[in-house]
Amino acid sequence: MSKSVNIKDLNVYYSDFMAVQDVTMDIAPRSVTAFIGPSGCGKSTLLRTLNRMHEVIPGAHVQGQVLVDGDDLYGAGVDPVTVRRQIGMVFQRPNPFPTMSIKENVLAGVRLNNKRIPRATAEALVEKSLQGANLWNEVKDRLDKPGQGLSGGQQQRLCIARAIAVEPEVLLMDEPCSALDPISTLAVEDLINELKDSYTVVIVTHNMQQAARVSDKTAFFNIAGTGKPGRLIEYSDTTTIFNNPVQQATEDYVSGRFG
Amino acid sequence: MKVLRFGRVAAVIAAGALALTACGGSNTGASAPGAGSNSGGSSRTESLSGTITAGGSSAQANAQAAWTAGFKAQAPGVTVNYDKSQGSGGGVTNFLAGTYDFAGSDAYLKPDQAAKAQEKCGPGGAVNLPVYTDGVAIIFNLKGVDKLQLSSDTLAKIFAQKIKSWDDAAIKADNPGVTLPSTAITTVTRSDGSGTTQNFSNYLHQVAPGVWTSPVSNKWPIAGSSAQQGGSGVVNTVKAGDGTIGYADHSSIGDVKAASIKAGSTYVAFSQDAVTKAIAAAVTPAKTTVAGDLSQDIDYTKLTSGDAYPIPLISYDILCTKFKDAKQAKLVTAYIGYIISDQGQKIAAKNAGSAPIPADLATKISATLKTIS
Amino acid sequence: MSESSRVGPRMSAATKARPADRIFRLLSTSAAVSIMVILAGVALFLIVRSLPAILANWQTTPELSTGPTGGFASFFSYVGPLAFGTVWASVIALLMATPVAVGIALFISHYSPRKLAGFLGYIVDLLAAVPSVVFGLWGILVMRPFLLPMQVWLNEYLGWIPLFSGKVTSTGSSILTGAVVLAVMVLPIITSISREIFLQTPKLHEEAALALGSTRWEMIRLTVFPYARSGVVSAILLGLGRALGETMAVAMIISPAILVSFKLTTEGENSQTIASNIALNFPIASGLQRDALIGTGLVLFVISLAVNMLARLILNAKPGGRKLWVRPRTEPRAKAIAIAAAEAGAETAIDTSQRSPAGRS
Repeated sequence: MSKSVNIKDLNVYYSDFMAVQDVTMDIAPRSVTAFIGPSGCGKSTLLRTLNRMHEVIPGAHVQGQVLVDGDDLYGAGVDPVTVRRQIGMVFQRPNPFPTMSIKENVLAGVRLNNKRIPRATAEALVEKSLQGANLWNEVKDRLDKPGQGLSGGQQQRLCIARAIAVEPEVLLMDEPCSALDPISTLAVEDLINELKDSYTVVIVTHNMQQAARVSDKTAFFNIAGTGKPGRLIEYSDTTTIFNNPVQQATEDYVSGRFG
Repeated sequence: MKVLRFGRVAAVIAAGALALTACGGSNTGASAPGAGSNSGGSSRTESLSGTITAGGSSAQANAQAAWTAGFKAQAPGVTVNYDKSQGSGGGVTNFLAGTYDFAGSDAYLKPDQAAKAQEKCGPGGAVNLPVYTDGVAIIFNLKGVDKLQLSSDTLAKIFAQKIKSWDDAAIKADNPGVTLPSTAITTVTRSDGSGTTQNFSNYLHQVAPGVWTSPVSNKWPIAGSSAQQGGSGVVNTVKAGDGTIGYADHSSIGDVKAASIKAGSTYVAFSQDAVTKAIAAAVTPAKTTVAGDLSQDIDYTKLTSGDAYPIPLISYDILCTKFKDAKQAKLVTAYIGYIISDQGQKIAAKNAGSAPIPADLATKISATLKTIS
Repeated sequence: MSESSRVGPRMSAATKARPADRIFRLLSTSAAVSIMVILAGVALFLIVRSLPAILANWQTTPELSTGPTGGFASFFSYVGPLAFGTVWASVIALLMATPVAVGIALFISHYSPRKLAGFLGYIVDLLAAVPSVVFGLWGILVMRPFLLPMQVWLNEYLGWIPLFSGKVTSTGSSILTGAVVLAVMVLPIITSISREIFLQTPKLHEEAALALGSTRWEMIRLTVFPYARSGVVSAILLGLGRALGETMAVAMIISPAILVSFKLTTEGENSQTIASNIALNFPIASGLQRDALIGTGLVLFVISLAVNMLARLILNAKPGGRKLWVRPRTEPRAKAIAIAAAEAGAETAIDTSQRSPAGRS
């Protein structure tokens, strides 16, 4: 169920503006890859191109290829809706559907694919997904309560449960802990560590300690100046990036000299 | 709005034309127009100045516009404001409240209103002067039929919705030799309260009491018709439909075909002359306690002579017998005097399509005007 | 906090009211009071003027038993069918307007390219600026003949449904024609408020749905509708408020009778509305008849007030259960603004830059 992601010569544009230039990288299955870099360097944009979420913005488009186990996401006739059903995403701020119960939130994605699922199957799936998101024990007694009644960290884990309920091949996380307190952050980081046993996880983070803690490989992005496209500067094992990076810019960034 | 504006333009043109004829008249030294029964000749009106505030009946509106313009040519110092948006009811209400110098109304004052008028005008009360006469035209639109004749009974049956299609035996009997289609009849009536409705329902009530059992009312009393707003609404709807028949002031029907109505043994088409004759023949003074009041009841059953149009209508101007301000009394009587003059009635006939009032009625109005101070 | 305690004395000095502040406060307070006074004045006028007619015996009072008010046992048997007709015509109009309005609003907010959205929004707002007499003329001259064949068809083939039964109209002056025109007239209100609310749907929720692999329609069903439900309901109620009071277009198009009838395609059995009845009969009415018409106006006033209050109630009713007059603070604020704007006949131009790509990464 976990798949590799290969990005080849990818340029990302918002209309005429090139946001990300010439990225090539290979992401292994069952690994955690972190995207780091200063604000505006295009790391979130790049993450969104991995499930075509960038297309939500009118005029956004790419050149190049993104292969998931060899299949090009941008090939002719590929439906972005199908892509997103296979590549899940978790956002900066927890966003459970406000009118739905915890249970309904978890099942929301599954219901899209398959309107009628037997009650028993649904309940098993809810438990499995919430277990997978380390949330089951906290919410098992109030599955029918609104998802918004949970704390921020619980909400974010609910969103992860919702994302993994559809059993995606890749899980994208866009600064999943930036709105959370340290304890909740820890809970989510622990979860990420477990998730990589079954999923290919790509995470964007501003927090370098977090990148160092959770990821196997790290990609550092930078931007030459305002209005210039973001570029992939260095991509390597996390230990390499943080301990002896090849590029000067990477070293400056990870050692806190800028950014 | 458009119609209103057009009306104003027409009034201005009429005023211009009048000014010219008035000049011509004085140059040749001819007597003032409408002399004789007329109390308001130009020699007496030129010196007047002031403003007359009035309003009410919208049936009179076009005629009032023509009169206002015509009078202005004779008495440049006088401004007449006639507000037709009030309708007859509003005209009387405002008159009784003291804001109008006179009210235009399709009906004369009812007893309780007359009593209120005495509070306002003094013990002499108010007089109803029948200054405007016209006919209710029965208009229709039926494919393949250009001329239609109807007896009062058939007319009552149609508007009581007792006859439902055009090839009904009763209509056939009125129109020998005419091929009538089986189209369903749509009666078109007024949705708003109206003096025309009052007159027409009164006519049906008098001439066909056996068929028309609904009350006489200024609001069309039976459901089931196509009710339209205003005379123009009725005319437009009749024109647009097929198998439609409606009633409207003759002055508003334009080029829509009108039926001839049976009076006695002949069918009489609408003409201004036939209306004037009808008024002369059918009116009887209504019961009144006010000296000089000329309220008229129309007895439609008297209209059997064959040269009188069977459905005439009367609209009144209502004014106090005694004004608080003698100068204002002079203004108003001069204006009404102009209205009933030959010239005034001709202008209304030309511009509003109304029928001139009979001469003896004009003489009576003139006599009443002399008593007003 | 510690900062503010240090500058405390200076700040308390600054809180002393300045003259300009006081004057402005006085002006705005009196403006606020005046609106209450006006409303109370209108209510008082309606009540005082209509009481004689409401209390009178309609059968024995000659003035009330003839003319526009003739043929009714009491004020209530007169106003009953009128109140029914008012609500009935409006409800039919809303049934037609709502799906279209919500469709347009959705298209503008979620489907159309941004340029087209702006243009469409402008067109819809323009529709709100068309005077109702123009709609009336359009109804008479265009919609009446246009809808006539459809009504004849409905009557002929679906006449077994009570709604389409009866003697079919031959001129088109049916309540259906009137309701279609009325629907066009309330369309802008419902559309613009719905559009504002649809646009306020949190991006976060929309992206959550999209990232789960929903199609655009599924995303709308999953996030936009639940978020906007109460707002759209109150938009509909505000549209209802407008439809209830609409006068000219109804008076010009519908051939009325004062009776209770559900039939849609006749011209002899259309329930008259209060506003139109007043407009059509006020000029001819005298004394007590006018009081009776004013009484029907009072009933319309009460109906409209109830509908507007219901709209606010629904708008403010959140799971938390807020009080009627408390203006919600966070998300619903936008709705409150939209409502206020709609009531003022203006539009809050939504800043489309909210939806721009700026600030991503």
